[in-house]
Amino acid sequence: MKLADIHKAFISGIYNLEGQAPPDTYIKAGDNLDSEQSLAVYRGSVFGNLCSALADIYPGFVRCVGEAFFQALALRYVKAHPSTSSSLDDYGDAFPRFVSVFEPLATLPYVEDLATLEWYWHKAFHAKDEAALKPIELSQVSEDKYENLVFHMPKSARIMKSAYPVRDIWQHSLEEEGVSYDATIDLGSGPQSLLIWRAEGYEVRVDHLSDLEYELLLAVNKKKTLGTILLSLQSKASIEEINQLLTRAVQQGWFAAFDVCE
Amino acid sequence: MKDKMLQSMPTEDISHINTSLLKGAGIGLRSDHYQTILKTLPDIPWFEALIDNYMGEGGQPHYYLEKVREHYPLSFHGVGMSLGSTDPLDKDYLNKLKTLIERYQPSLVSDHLCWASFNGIHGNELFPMPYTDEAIQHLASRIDQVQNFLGRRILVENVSSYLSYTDDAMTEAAFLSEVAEQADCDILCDVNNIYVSAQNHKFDPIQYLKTLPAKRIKEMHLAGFEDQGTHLLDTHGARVHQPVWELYQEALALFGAIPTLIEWDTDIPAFSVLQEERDKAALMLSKQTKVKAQQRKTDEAC
Repeated sequence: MKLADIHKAFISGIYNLEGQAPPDTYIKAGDNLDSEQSLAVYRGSVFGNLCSALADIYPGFVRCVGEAFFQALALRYVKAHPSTSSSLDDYGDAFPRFVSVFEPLATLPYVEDLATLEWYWHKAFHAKDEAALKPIELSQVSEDKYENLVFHMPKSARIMKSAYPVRDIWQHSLEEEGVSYDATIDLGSGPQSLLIWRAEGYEVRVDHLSDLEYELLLAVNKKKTLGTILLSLQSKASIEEINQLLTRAVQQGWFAAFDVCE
Repeated sequence: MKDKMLQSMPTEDISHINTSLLKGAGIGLRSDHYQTILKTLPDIPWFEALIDNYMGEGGQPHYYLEKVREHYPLSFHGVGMSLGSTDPLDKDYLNKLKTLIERYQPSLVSDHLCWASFNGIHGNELFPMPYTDEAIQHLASRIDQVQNFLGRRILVENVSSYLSYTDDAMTEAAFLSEVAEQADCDILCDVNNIYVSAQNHKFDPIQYLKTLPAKRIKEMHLAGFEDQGTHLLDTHGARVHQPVWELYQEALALFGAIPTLIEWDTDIPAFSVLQEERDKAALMLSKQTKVKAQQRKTDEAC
């Protein structure tokens, strides 16, 4: 067989994809393992590695549903989502969507948001180190250009809005083993808006955002100009509140850079 | 405090670190041991970083790798090059690797004699190659491209295997030797992997060692396996087994006191356990160096 044909048969056999060939057409039977059993050793290793990668990325989720349940869930995910990257850090991006439609989890309506939070945390953990925008850099922009400013959040930053107190659920799942979460957290306590990011340094932060802060960062994420953002916020807050909000955003380090849009 | 330390990283002067060939016995750097290493600065000549753990652009992994690099020489070991794959070489991966090499200046860079993907579907595992002429040409050509791109030689490591292909036309040792010869690359001889594969496929591990070109062996690996009953599994989750130490002794006699690494990747124990294993390898390396020196003296006297 050509090298490519062997690889095709092998990887198809691992993931049960189209293009499989009977293992004994390209794998020799050994003394203790026949061809299929030999391939199964690798299948077990591949699935085990990918399940471990998911457990590393979603530790709060593991604690929330229990290790045995997670293992079974992860295995289903792995079989449905073969890896498409040489880096295990890229694996698991579709997991939040996957759990959202997984019938046995229907009684836990927050699972997609919990998984999304942990995926964003994972991306922030590995993101580029960036310095925060310094106020003095802004002072060099002439005032008549202010409305043309377009801010950029750090590459690590992701924002999300959940209908559930997802940050509380996540924190409790990491801290308290064996707790019945629904019993300790009021799922009806209202939505939470979150910023998941890294400031200067390596610690990932999960910050709660007010409605106004969320609106601001949502617009910044969409690359809206400051002029457009101010117009949209004026219906929701006073000029003074908006000024305080912008000052706070710069002080917190929520912006890493800016452009002046001509 | 941590933020200030992080800010100082990029300007840290590491020019005093010797980046020529490594000496003695090193330990595989794992995140579980960052704190212990930086707090105690153990007397270990070098560490080996798994480059795939540092493919992210920033954050904690690079913070600690920088700190370790300030005190120790490094070697880089990868699992993601997929040298034997028929998919195109992963340019993104190689670009990141090149950037990491420029940043951390490792003494050695290695990956495996294996493949990991087909048509964009990855196993993220070290799949063995069929030992055929076609595979030799294919691997040699890709290793050559990688070496040209990186502007340096790489080492290719033999993997543990649990199957052989119906198309195999030669032994693994002959295959590896020919690939290294055609690609003009170096070899990372994993003694544990040779032992595991020898047991699984019933070949003579000493004959394997004798087949390899001694001049190309630039590093050796030692680790622990697990007996699954039907086969030995290379778990990197145990102390080095006695038969592997014995095979290592044979390798030292054949290749000389080659820099040697203790690897441990699953059920990672306290750092002191790795130090004990390392000390054992270091002692054997030291004895080998003395034997060689004695042999030289005897030869000169004759």
